[in-house]
Amino acid sequence: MDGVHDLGGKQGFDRVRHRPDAAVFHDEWEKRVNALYGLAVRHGIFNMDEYRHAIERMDPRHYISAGYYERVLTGLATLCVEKGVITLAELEARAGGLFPLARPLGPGRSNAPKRCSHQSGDKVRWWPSM
Amino acid sequence: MAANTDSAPLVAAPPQRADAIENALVSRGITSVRAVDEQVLVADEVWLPERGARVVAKAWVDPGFRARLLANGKLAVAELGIEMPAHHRHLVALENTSEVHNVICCTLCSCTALTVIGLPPDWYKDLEYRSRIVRESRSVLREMGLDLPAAMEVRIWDTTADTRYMVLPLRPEGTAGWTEARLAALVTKDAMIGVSRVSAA
Repeated sequence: MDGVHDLGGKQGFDRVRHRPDAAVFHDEWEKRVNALYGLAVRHGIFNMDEYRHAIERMDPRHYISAGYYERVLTGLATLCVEKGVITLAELEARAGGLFPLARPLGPGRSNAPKRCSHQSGDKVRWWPSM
Repeated sequence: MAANTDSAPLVAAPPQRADAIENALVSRGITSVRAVDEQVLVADEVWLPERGARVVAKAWVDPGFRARLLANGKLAVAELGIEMPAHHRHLVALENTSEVHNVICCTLCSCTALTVIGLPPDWYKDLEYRSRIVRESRSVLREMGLDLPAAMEVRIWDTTADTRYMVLPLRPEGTAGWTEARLAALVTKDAMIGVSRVSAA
């Protein structure tokens, strides 16, 4: 899926905010969320592919505006709710506010099956795009 | 996300959301505060770049180990007691030479061989690095302080869920006869990502 997470080569972004010896975490909650998703995988609540996909299903506006560990947090919470481990109502009551989750799983849309009519061995003419 | 207005409830801040999910999971006995504490400690004190630095230094001084590292990274780092999670199925060591410079990234997520080179630094996970390093590699590296000669080939490696990479940097000049420990002290996480080179200065 051509989601917002597919950032390789996307243009318009600014300089990398690089410093030598840059931090991995900036707050204690980031460390705990990073630990929690690892524990959830270990306990078999979800696997790594489901985890990554849950992050990719985030609303694009949320994905772009969230830092890395907010994306981790959203993927973790989304899967815990979808798997019936906890409810969104409980999370929002505990958090004292809204708890945005990723968008639900859908059937998706595959690529057009007959997009290219050429057969192996056909002669084609090709020119680079401008 | 719902728009925040005077009448609508506000989105809870990330620290409150993080507490909410931890407390909910702990209240169900799925995990414990202690288990989370222990996992935090592993991230802080075990998954450090000093591990990868040992791998690099050994590869510099031991041609047999270097060959094994290039052939099968996961098996080679296990010789040094460095474990990788089951879903990190492959570790590919990318050897820099005088003609080729390697750089790693993860455009889709932020994957790394985190148990070997350490957890990724903040900028590696930012949208700027993920989007630009594959398209404007030389410019991005220059902005980050690494100005490569035009004749040097640059190879950017995009990490996948299964395959993790580490850069094996060039051993710096003037280090003949150095011990592994002294060499390892020169090797940084940035050098194993490929955004800097190792210097003995």
